[in-house]
Amino acid sequence: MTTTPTLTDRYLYALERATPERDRAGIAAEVRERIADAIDARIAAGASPDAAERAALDELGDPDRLAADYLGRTLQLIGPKYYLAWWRLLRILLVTVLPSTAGALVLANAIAGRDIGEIIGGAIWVTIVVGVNLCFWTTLAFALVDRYGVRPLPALPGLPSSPRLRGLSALDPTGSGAWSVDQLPVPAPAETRVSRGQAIASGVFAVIVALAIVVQQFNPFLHDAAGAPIPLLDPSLWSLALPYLLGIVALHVAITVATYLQGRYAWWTAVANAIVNLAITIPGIWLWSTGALVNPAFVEAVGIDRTDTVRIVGIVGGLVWAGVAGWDIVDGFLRAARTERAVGGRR
Amino acid sequence: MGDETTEGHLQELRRGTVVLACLVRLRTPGYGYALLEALGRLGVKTDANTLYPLLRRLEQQGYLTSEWNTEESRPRKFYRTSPAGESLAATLADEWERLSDSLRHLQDES
Repeated sequence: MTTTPTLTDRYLYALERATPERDRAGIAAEVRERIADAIDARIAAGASPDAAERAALDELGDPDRLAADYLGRTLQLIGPKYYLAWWRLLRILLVTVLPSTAGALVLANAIAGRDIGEIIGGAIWVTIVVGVNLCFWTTLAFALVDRYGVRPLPALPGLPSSPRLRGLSALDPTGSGAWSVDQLPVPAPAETRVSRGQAIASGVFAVIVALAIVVQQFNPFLHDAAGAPIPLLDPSLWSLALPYLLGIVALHVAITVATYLQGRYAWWTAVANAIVNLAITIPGIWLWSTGALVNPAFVEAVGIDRTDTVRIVGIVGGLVWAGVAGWDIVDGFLRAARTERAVGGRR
Repeated sequence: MGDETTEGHLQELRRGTVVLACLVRLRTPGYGYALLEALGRLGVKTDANTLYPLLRRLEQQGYLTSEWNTEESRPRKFYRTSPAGESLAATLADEWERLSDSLRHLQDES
């Protein structure tokens, strides 16, 4: 004889599925009693048996949630105990791992001679894949630790207890590594004022670049058969590119001096710095990559072929150039932002 | 200010008192639904979804003991306050008195 399972049977079945074996029978028996009492109370109040059962189960709510209530489980992936440790670790991983993997892939693809679209596409792809993986595995690890718990690691004897190490043990909030005031960050001094040293250094660097451009024309180290110097840079660049370069260098000095005279960084100095950097980097790298920058006679005289080694050195040099210029642009905006905040705060 | 926020604060205030009420009431053994009814009649507001899991937790913590009663038509789990539960109840009751006094002083002062 088979009977159709009642709603109560179905509810208890769902509840048992959501309960670990150890507690299954106990919780099911308790809830069975609870349901029966609730149904009886409703029938006594005048409801029909069917309606009473339905209403009683409705009141109990989602069996998964009920099981969690009885087991004392929290319905969250990562609770407050580990949330901050999870967030700190994830942030550190994202800002260190993503740029380094993307950078490594760009370098490798450039050396392999892929075209620019493929290089950029590859960098975006690897950033997404690595980013998703970092988020997933870190969160999974913390969710497991949060659910099943870990015993605190025993203190290692002989380990120096520097604030930095204690900062690391913040990942283990159950252990000895509770948060302490030693972990407070030291506020970065807001470099609102442009120091004279910075202005002078920038000027000196510009002068060196300008001198180098002029001096290489009269290269004292390399002469051709007729005794005339062989310049490093292609002499045909003097028609436009080199005067342009000298002009930009002069402009850079002017901006630095203007920033110094104004006394602090501002948005317009950051923008001007970005424009100057782009104006020098984009044509520069283009000339560099097409091989138009270096004097063919110089290459011949030194006796190097355009071998793979030269090509790879060229790629690495180009990326370093782009990286330095990129950082200089970002740094300009960071200084401007910090200055703005510090000055705004004082107002 | 909505009634919802008021209700939330009231729930916060009542939360710990349900434990004390259970421990005192269960000096004489009782089962879940009877306790729910009794507390409701006595004006200790609580709902079934709080009370039943609470009973289970107090039992696991050793403040209640339990026994299945199979004499009636349906088996029911009867809870009873353990000696540890008695001493917890005494501690909670003392704290309740102390807080009550403090709050009264606070209100007299202002």
